[in-house]
Amino acid sequence: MSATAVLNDEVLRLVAEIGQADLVVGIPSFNNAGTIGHVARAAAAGLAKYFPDRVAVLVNSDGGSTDGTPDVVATTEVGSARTLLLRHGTRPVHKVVTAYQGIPGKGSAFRTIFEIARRLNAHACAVVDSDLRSVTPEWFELLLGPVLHEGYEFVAPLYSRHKYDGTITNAIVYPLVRSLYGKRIRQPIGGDFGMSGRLAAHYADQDAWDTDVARFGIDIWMTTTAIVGGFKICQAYLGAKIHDAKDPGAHLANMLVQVTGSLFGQIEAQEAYWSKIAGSEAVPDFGFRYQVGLEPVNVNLERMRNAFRNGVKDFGPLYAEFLDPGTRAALSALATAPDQAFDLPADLWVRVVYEYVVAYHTRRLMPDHLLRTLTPLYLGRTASWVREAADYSADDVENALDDLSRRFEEMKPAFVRAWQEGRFSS
Amino acid sequence: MMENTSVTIWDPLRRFLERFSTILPVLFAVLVVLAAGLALAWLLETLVRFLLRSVGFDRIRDRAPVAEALRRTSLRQTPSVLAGQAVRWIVIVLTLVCALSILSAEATDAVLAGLVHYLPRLAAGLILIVLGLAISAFAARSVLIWAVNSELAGSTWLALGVRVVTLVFFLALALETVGFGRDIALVVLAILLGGAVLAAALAFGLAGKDLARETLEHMLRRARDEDRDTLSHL
Repeated sequence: MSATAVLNDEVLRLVAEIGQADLVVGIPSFNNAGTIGHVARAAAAGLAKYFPDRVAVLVNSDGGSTDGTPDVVATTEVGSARTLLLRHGTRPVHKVVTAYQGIPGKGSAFRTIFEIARRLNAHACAVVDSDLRSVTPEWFELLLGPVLHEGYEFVAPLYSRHKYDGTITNAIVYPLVRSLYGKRIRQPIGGDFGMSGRLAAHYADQDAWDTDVARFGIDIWMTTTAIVGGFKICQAYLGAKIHDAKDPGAHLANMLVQVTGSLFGQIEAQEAYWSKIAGSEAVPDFGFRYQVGLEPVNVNLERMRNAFRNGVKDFGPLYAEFLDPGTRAALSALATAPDQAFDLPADLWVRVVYEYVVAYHTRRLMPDHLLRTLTPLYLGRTASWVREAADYSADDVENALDDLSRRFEEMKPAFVRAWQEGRFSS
Repeated sequence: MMENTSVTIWDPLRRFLERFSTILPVLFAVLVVLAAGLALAWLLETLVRFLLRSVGFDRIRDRAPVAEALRRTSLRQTPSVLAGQAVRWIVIVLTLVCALSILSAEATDAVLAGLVHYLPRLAAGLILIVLGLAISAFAARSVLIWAVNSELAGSTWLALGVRVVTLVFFLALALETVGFGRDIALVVLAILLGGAVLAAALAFGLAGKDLARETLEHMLRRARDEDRDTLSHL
């Protein structure tokens, strides 16, 4: 699809009318009528409060909602000074509400936003999820400010989260991004990002819009593309992230396939970059950190442990095709351990994750089947983490994750060898 | 009397010996060809296996499409062993044809004509069986992964059942294609599915009605537990 075909005639006309913009805020959506009005108002308020002299455009890139989501954005009042108790005059925020073209998915929605940012020659661009309940005007200062005032080109989010939440990010995505790409980006798939106009145009130029990136792998793709492209990266503390409850029918296995599939795919594509990286470096933080009251999280540990035990038993022949015998023996021993002694240690988990990445690379099983077999092992690790972190403070949690990530870094040389040889040597 | 006995006993015996003496060299030749053919088959199989292994032919097993195909068809042998076995069977078939041609040229022609006529159906049957092996393995693995991740009890049995049903279906199709019985596939499938459903209904509903109640209660209880699990993985 050509760059012009990404935008329809109506959008091209609107963009031509606006001409040039300093800031673009993009909100991808699909049936988010209940929350998107709040997000749009927060964005408009943030732009008016923190960037009153800038020309700003709010873009809603919708995936064909049937609940009137685009109408909500179109009719949301975005120029009210009363919201902010402002006395000074502000420029009105332009609005572009459009249905995106291409493969259905968040990535295609982002592509439309990037293309509009490029055509408007925007200096900075921010994208936020449309189901956010905790978004405030300050988020937009934090996502756009480092780009406009500090010269950063990619702003990743930092959130306050419950210690049991975000376990896929904590146990797999963050440690792998840190150890392989060498950047300590705490929320690589956070979903709310800031970027320079140059980076938005760089994204739009990539040849990735006919792949899974267009559907669900956009967040990790944006992060790793920014790292590999050598763009200057920072993080911004946004507070708590509270969003609409996900579809209860969404299965954990599907979630894991999407996240790990996207990440492992990027790892394959960017081997030339990460294979030369050793260690990791911190990324500068912006924003004022504060204590956040978090909703309690209920976890059914017995169910997780049973899922692990049954998985190790029933997936035994499949694991034999790609997991090292030593790893399998350790998992089998853990599967027979009593509840009190149930603990999938960090070292074993690191090994499991790396062996999965190698198996994905060598196609030892069909990718979808391979990634789905990770579910019981992930639940075993999560059950161990819940038990381990029961009395942890927020700082303890970060220290434990730092320790886990260091183990990933320590094992990276062995992983690189296994990647080249096709399997881990026992 | 003595003359009559000589005629009735010795004449047929003499004729048999005369005929046998003419057939014996032919039988001997057939045996020699068979023995030589079998020895050649074994020799060529060993040679092909050794040569392919020494040139690293088995490494194609590491290539994704080949590995996946071998896995789906449940073939555990290495590619060099498979190639050797193929060569052996080709040589054995050729040996049998040669041996037959020694016995009777007409019979050989008839067998070859039948073989040529039968070969496409045989090949189609073989392809169906290979396809059945691949599809049944794939279906069984998909069901196993789904069942385990859905935390269903008896996942391996469920996967095995799917594999057997799929395999039997393809076997029936292959038999029909080869020419053993018409409509056999339909009948087998009807028996399999109908029988399985009836057996499950009887076993679960009548013989194990208490178990059925407990299982449903357990499933409902687990669903409620899951609802209370508010952990966000992403």
